[in-house]
Amino acid sequence: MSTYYFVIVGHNDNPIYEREFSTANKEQRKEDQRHLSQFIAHAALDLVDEHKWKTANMQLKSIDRFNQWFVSAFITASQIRFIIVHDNKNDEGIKNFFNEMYDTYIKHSMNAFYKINTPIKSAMFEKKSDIFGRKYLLS
Amino acid sequence: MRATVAGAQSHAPSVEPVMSRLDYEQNALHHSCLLVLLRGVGPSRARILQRAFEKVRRVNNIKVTDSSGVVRTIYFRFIHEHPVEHNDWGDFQTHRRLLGLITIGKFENQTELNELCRHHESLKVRYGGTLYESRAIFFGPDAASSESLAIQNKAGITTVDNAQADGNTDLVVLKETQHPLAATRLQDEFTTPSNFKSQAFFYREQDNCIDLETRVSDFLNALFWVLESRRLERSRERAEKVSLLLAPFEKRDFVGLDMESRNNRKRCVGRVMKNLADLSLQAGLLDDALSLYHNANETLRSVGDSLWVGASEEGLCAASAVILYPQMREIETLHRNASLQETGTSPLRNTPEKWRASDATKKINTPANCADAITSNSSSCSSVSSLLTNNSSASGTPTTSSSSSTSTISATPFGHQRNGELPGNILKPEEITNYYRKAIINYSKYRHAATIETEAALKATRICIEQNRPLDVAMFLQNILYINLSLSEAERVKRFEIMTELYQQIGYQRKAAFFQRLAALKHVQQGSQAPDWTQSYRLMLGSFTGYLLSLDPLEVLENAAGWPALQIDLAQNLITAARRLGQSALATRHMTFLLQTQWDNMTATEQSEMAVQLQNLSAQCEGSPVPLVLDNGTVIPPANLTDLPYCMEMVVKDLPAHLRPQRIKIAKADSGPFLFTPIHFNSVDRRDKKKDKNKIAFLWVQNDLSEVCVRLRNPLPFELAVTDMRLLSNGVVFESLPQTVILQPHVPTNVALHGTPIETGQLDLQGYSTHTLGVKSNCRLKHMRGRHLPPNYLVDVIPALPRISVKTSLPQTATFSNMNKSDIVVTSASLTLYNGESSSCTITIQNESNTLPLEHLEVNINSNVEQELQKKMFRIDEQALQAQLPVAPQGTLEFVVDIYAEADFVCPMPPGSLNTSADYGPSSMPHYASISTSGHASLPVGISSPQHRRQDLQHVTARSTIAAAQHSLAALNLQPGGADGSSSLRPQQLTQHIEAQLRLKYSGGEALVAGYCRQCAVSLNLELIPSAQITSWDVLPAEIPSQFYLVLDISNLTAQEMSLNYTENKNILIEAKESCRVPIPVDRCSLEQVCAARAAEVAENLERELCFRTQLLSFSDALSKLCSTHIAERVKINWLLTGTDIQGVASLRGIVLSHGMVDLTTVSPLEWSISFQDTLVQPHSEIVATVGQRAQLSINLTNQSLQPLKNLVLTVKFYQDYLNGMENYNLETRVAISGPNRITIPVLEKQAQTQHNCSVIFFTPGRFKTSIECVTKPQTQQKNSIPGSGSGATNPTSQLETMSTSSFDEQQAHTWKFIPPIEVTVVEQ
Repeated sequence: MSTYYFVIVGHNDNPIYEREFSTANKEQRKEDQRHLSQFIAHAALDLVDEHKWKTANMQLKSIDRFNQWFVSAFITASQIRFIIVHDNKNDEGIKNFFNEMYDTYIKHSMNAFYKINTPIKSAMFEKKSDIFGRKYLLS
Repeated sequence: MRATVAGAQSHAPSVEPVMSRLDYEQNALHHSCLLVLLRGVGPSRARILQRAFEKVRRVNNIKVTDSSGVVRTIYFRFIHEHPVEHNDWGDFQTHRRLLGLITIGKFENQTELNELCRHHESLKVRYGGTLYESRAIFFGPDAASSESLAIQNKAGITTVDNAQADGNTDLVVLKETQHPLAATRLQDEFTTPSNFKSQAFFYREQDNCIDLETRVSDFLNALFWVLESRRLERSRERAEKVSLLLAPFEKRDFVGLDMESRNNRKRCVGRVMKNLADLSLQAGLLDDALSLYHNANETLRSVGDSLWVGASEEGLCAASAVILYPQMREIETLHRNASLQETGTSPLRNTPEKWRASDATKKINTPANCADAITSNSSSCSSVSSLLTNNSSASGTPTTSSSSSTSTISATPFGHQRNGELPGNILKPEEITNYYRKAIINYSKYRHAATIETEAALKATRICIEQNRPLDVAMFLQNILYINLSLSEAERVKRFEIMTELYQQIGYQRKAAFFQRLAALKHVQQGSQAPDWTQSYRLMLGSFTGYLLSLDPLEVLENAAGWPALQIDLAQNLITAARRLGQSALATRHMTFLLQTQWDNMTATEQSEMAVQLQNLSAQCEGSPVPLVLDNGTVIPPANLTDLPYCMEMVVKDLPAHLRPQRIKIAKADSGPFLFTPIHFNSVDRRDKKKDKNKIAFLWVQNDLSEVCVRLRNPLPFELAVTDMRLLSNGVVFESLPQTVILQPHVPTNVALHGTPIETGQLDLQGYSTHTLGVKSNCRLKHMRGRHLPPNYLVDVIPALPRISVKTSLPQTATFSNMNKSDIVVTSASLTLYNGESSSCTITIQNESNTLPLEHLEVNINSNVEQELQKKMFRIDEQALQAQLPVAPQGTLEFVVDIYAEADFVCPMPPGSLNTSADYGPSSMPHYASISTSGHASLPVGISSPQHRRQDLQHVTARSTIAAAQHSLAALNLQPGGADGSSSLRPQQLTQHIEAQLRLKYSGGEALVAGYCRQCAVSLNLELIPSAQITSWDVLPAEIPSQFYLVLDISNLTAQEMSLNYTENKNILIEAKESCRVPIPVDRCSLEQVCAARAAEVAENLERELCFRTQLLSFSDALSKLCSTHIAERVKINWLLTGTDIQGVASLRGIVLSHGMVDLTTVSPLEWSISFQDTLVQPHSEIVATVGQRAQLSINLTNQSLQPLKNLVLTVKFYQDYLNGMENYNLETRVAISGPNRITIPVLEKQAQTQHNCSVIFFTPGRFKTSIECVTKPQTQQKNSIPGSGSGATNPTSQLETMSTSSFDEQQAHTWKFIPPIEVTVVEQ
């Protein structure tokens, strides 16, 4: 059983897209879990911001952990932060997932009607993240 | 592998030698400090003790010159608590050993002193194992006289010191040698008990304790020397003989082991070496310490003594840090203060600054250590560069300014600063981290060393902070969490708080907030015995910064940053904490804050849930917009629910139209002939207007209730009661009235807010205040977002104006007029009048204001009729009105409006009839009659018995025309007046409605001076019912040439019998809806008037020509008008409705006269003098002629006019009048005229006479009539020019005369008749 909490964080520390992937049945402590994941992801932003200047890589790997949770991050060229809070190691999958999501995000942000830093509300985006989540994270 | 073994080994069941408490404050430099317990004893914790504590604390280092002449600086660490078991680790790390004890106490009497001594002694016993030396500081009661105290102070108390190095001091008797006033000395008054064997210092309470520092310093010196002796002892120990030093938990591990094995020997030596290194470090021998640590490290590593390897590594780090970062010593002393300051300021404000912001305070706190202070200054800015230089001696001079932002100069070691070189074996800054990491790994192999490990990690963290390596800080801190340490909950919380603090120091606000929140939650977690909500609340509030929240909702909304879900969670936790603390005001405030700031981030259900929660919270404590201050000084700014209810629109309303102030129009001063000036004097004003768009165009009046309309929407799904809504204003004093509304969900509601400006000037409307959900809010427009609302509205308030109420004497109307400006109508009056009737209306004005007089009143009337007509209809005595001013407060004024029902009594003439009657006077009548007869034939049946009426009319006419010209009237009689009248009457029959407004402009008091007034109006509705109507008219010659008869058909259009008075003494009664014909003798229009009219017309035409207007007035128009007015002036027909007192006057204004009529109306320019058979013919005289006999007819014409008459044609015709409308002109067989009957007279000069004679023979007897007339023929244009020029030649002086002559005579055909026709009765011979 593994859970992944994926969030895209905008420039003002505001989440613009949130998604959870889990192999566990959904109802179990979901709200609690999600809440904690949010806090962990938020706390990790400090480290993301520190790391992003230290490397030329967009993939920041696993940069933080709290108890059994790891935080992996990815930073886009426009400084949008992708963060995954997860409880088992899956570097390769996360890397691929980030790359695919980056692609999807870029495409979405090119929509003239999408304003940067605002929550993403798109069925297509949702669908894509679902597909990639299942493909790279839960497989 | 080694770790597991060691762990197994150390797993001793019985002993639990783990350190009970973590020292979270420890840093690397404490390794070099001597530990002193500073403890307050006794019950009293007076302020004086606090001062003493600080004094003692200030002496935290001493300088000692050792035997070799080297100056060593020895540092001390004062602590308040020290668990005894920590001393057990003294072998492992010597700085953990408690070496000194200072107690501070206050006593009032001997008993208390004894108690203090007992305390001191018991502490000594407790730490007896490690204690080198102790001191007691006692504060006694004040001396009786302050004088003696002063002396005592001056003298000081010299203590017998020279404490022995062996640690056990005898009771030192304090001798006072210098001063004879020994009686005042405390130690003489009170004596310490005999078992008190420590050295004590006595002070009075108010004593300045000048010598306290020196005494403490002496005490510390003593401690050092003991330590130094121990170090020397240790250093002289022989390697073979050293015993094994043990960490507390290791005791069991070595039981039964062969201590003499090579390995264990080495272990012993290594450990002793490490111990010596510790001592050297404490004794200020840094170089020695470093090399010893290195050696020990090597030795111990070779035997795999991981724990001690770790210790030696840590020692290395500590020794290096002491050299590299001496300024770190200062951090701890000011730490306390810094944290205090942090809570005091707004959290968001100091986020950008990193961890060492308070150097200034550092300096103040440690004035004693100047050198230290300077070095700490120089290290202040470490946020820019993380590069560390070891030997930045260049910048190491003490003069470096505190703001130098280059790399950390802190690398400059304190001790080696002077020669600028560091010991060769010192760890480089980046190595320190590695060594710490290694040490931690080593420690981690031992379960019981968890405390040591944690402390090491914290020390490492602090070093990394100093080095500005946040990632390493994060790494060490993170590691702390994974150290398996059995901690109490309180300790756990403490750990989180420390982590928070450390994260904050490196600027990781979000991380800090995370742990702060964890700590807050731990404080109150479920199952906790004593949940500490105060702490929880404090921490929660502290973590606001990390979540990008501010306490001020405005700031939060402004930033619009952060993670809403987390912010909401935090705010909710805060509310819970505040509620549990019983701080209802805070709970309400935070709930309001939550609703206000996170409204957009909540779902509709959440919104309503929160709203309900707020309602519940505010039931305990009402929220109001004032800042709340916490105990620690934090100010919680007010939170206003600006969008609950949601304001959609705010409209400032003008006063009601009738109360609206206006400018009193002042006649503009003549600004000269220039209408245009390029200089715009008001351009400045215009620019000003552009600047404030929120400026309201209209005015409000002082003391007048004013209104602002607010459109509100309730975004909640339940009814929202908003009470006590008031306008918020600035500027002039404004008294606003509370308003209460209940808003239905989602329905926009308009709410009118009222208030009264009390002063004059500019009023600044900023918004409104509400009281909803139990919270008072000030909703200012500038804080409302997402709407196009201006930040405020500015309204000018002018001085108070009086108010009036208006009453009329007439009944009010049900309907209001639809004239323009109908909004200012305050009352109405209606009146029904017959045309021509007069009436009056009394208007009463009451000044309603209590203070202001009515000083200015202007009345004018506005109506839907023409100005001229209006003047006739309404009349106001302006002077009488003005005479009544001013009207005192509450006074009244009355005036009368005279109303006259002016109407057209004359039917407009059909245009056709005008033409026909133009060419021939009375002859037009038959023609006229024929038209009307045809009209009569087509009359609708609805008209009642026209036949009968006609007969009646005829009858009446017969009666009324007594001696009038019979035949001409007979001709008139033929005209069926009723039929004709009714057809033209029909539009006239409708009643006429006239709407008028009596507009009153009034003012008074200061406003009048300022030039303002108010306007209200009385609506007057007049209904004009037709009364008498003149349906047709004609002009007949009268018996005398100076008069003519105006014959009128007058209809009574009322439903009542009408009595008509048409001349002075002639009355006639007309039945309802009937008409009658009356002749009225009227004086002819004199020639002078005609001339005047002509002259005026000529002048007019000249002017028109000058102005190149093509259309010239014809003289006939002017003349016709003249005649019309002439008649209208002279003829007034008074009517009276019989049986009532309703009466009126019908005027003939507007009567239209045909050309023929005009000739009759004016005095003829020709004077006839006709003689028949040499007798002058008198009017109506009988002339008898005989058949067959010649009769002489002589016609004499005189031109009476002022102009010559041209182209006259005189015609003489005989005819027979059958008196039935038929006239026979074919009398060739009956009469013959000798000579021409048509004579042309080319010119008849002014006052000239011409005569024409002829003879007449009648062949048959009978009655003959003679028509004698003179006709001027209109000339063609061509002809006109010739005589015109001719006359111009003859009389060149008067061009005007010529013009007028031509225009009068030649453009118009005129007929002048001799009236009445001569009647000749021809008889047989």
